[in-house]
Amino acid sequence: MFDKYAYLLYDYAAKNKRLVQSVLLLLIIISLACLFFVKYESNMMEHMLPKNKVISRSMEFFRNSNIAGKVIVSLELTAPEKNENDLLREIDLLADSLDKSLFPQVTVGISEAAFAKDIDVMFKNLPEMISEKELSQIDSWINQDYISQKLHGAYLQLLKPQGILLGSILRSDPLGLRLLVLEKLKSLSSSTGYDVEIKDGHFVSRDRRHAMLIAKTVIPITDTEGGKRMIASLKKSLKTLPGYIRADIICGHAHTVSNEKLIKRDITFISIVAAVVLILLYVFVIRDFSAVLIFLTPVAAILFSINLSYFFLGNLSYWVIGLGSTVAGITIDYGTHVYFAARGKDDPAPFVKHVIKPVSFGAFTTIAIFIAFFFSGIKGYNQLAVFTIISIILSTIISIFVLPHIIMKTGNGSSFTDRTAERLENRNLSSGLIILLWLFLTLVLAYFSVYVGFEKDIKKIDGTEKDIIQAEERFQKTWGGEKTPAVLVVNSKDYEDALEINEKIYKEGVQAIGAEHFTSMASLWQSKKTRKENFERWKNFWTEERKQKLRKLLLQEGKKYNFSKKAFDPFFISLKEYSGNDPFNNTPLPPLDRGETHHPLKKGDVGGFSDEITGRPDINLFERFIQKTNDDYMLMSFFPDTKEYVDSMNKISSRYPDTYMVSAAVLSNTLSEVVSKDLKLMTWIAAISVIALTYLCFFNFRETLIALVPPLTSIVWLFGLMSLFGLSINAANMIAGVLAIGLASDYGIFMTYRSRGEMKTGTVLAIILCTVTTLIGAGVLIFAKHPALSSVGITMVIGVSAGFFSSVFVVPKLAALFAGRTNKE
Amino acid sequence: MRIKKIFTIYLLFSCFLFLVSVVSLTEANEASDVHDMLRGLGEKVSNFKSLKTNFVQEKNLAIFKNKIILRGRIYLQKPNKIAWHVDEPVKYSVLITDKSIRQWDEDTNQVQEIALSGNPVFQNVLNQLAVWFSGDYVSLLKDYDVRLLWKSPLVFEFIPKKGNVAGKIIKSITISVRDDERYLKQIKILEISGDSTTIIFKDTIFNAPIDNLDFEVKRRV
Repeated sequence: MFDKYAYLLYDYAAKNKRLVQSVLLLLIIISLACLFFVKYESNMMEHMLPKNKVISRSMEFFRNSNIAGKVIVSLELTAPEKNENDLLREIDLLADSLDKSLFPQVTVGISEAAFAKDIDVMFKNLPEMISEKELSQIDSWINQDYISQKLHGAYLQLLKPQGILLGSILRSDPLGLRLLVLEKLKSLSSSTGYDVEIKDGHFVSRDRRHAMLIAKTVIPITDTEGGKRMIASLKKSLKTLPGYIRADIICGHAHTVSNEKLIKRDITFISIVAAVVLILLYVFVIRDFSAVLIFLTPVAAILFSINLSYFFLGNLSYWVIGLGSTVAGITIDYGTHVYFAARGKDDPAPFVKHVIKPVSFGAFTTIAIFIAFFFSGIKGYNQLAVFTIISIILSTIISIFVLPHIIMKTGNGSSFTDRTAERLENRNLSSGLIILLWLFLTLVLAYFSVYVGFEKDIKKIDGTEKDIIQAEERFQKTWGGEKTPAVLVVNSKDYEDALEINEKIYKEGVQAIGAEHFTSMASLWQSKKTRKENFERWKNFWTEERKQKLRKLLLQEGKKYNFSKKAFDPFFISLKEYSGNDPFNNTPLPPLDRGETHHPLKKGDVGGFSDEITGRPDINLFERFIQKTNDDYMLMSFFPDTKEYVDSMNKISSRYPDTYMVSAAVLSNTLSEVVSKDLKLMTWIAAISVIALTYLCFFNFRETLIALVPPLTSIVWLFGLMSLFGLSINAANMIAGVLAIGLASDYGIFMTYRSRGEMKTGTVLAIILCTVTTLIGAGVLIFAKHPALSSVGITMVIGVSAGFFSSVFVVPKLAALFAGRTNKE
Repeated sequence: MRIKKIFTIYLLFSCFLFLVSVVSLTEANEASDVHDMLRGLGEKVSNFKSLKTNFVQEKNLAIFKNKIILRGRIYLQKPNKIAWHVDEPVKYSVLITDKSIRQWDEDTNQVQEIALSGNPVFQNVLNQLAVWFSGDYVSLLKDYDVRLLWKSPLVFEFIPKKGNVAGKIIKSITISVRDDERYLKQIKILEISGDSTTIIFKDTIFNAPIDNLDFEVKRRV
């Protein structure tokens, strides 16, 4: 039935070839015009991530948090005679010169004045921050031995050079209560993972030869075009730096831009080499100008497909267009088969009709593979499936029904090509020895194929340029921060609610992994409820009796060190101020309130106050721990990103619905799990579809099995050789593998069909030429600088070579042995 | 008559403007002069590689019943080593570098080392001291307003600028220079609370060889 309708359609197109060609030309013109209205997206990340709660939440977190989207510039003094003053002056000038529309918030350090203000607020609210346990500790200090020891220490301290300004501090805090708060503050500030010192309000390295600038940018990390604009603007500002300063830019955007730059450079190089080789091949081997039309067939199909896909899907990703076009490129094979069937024939119709079935079913099996992509949770793969399927269908239709009627008659064409095609058709390329060799290789490689792994680390296919990697290495050497901590996020619409959950999690977290491994704002600043409790407890603690006891001890022991009678009066006055007249006033945390307003943060800014002197926003201690998003408050706590700690904290997080974890290790594992699950499902769907379609092509069980030999060989050899060469499956070469298997499946169908020996249509030469053209394109890819493209090249070369070998050298013999048919000479 | 009155007012106003501009100009010139003098002084004072000096430190602190007077020696080796030995009223020694403080005292007889990176308060105080002792006064101009109190011998007063954290504790720092302008005679630190600390330098010797033992903190008691 398939043949009947296909032949009818062919005859109709043959009779009305002028009309068909005119319609095609018109459609090409319309499609070209419509291209100007198609909108594209450069955000690859959005399309390449699978639908998964952990993944989408992590990405959402990175999008919203202040952690991502920052650009760091590390400046280094390269001239020994220059000092840190020169460095700090230049970094200030640089900060002021940055484009405010791209970098709305630029900071070069923590303002000492702002920091002092924060500490003042903390000290003023000391009673709210002292826990029950700490009060017991204070109680244990009020005895003669401890006070004597403490005052002796204070006395020595005051006489030493570092104690020059400590007199009034010791008077107001002889017990060192403020140190309890300072210790907590210290643990928060030292948990950044960076080795930073503060000099004149600037971030400087320990050797004082480096300074750091942190800029918040409006450009998302995945926006390639925006990233290019941003980096160009930054580099323009960096050009104004004097020669004795080297600048390193550290940001995710650099990776995005660099990858795209490398891919573009590689593709340009590959396209030029491949085009030159293909032109030479067709000019010197085929020697027919009309063969150029074979190349133009997929081009026309891609053109239609872009417009149709845009109509169905909306904005298209550059990534989908790029990869989809590459995939659609394999439809050159269909045109090639039709071309060789029609070539040199006075009446090409019977020959073309003969190849309609294998060409169509070759296309169907490839389409079936891409139908499996609809079952993937990755949006990009779904889009790729739509684009590719449309391209393949259109290209196949044009190849079968339009191309034969445009190809010029080549009765006087190259006798060399025709002779070669005929010789190959008549020659039996398959033998028992080759079958044994194929069997041996396949069995050996099948053993190794089970060991091929999936690459979890996406960095392995990152093609970032060396200078960016070197800049990051220099940065880490100077500033540390190689290990990104895992984050536990408490998310709530209500600020107090978030604080309460954060507090509970902190208590459990400390028990589970230890306070030294868990950094949370809750160690310093708790919810209103807890602070009120602390405040009440403090008031009750400082009874007149306890105060008198302490006063007496200070007086008695102070005499030994020449302390005056009124030495510690300021302390007792402050006790009165703390717990006497002032009721609990629920002072907001410093980043939430600078004294000017009691309204919490605006969207996207955390502690975004300005330094009084420079007018630039400062980073404060709490910025890492609290953030306001559209409607929610996010409180973040940090811990080492190791399996042990992640598992422990995961258990805690699972008990609180408004919390989640963001861990690079977990993200990587989840991504790997989801993608491999997707891959398994897609493989099964594709395998069943390919088997079913191959059977529908032959309606013969044995021929179906024989036709499936090339795709199976392709899979086994591909995985086996990848395993032997230590290569892994990754997100990029996975598609290439699918493509190679699709081609092998086509070759299997063509050669099995040829083995029926019904008509000589130049199948072997067509397959050889198709393989050579694919291997040229893919072979050049091996030399690409981008690791993803290079891995695609290796995969294609192995997969297509295996498919070619098994289809041309194995299938004919198997057909002769098992299908009872052989190529009739 | 009326025109005359207006003319008089105009004349007086012009005189006032002239006076204001003259005073501003004088102040600006004075500030510029003081900066130049300070730069010149800094060059003279910092012109040594090592230094040893005796000192007397007077502490007038409200926490103490009486004024405390300390006597001892300071050894300074550029770029970043200061040894501070006190003999009275208690014996102690402190070695300050850019990374840590190493200290010993007679009472505990223990040597203790504190990393400055973990102690920003100490670090700030000691950094300031290092600047005062080494003579890099120009670098202080971004944080302090400076005033010349006396020309011969030179006496400068440094007042923390608005926004400088030091202004929360320090009211002023006054430095008096030796007659030969080669080094400091005295530093007086006056705090907002009224506490004051004065360090008087005596018998200062420049570039004399300093024994490594002078940078040892532990002494034989």
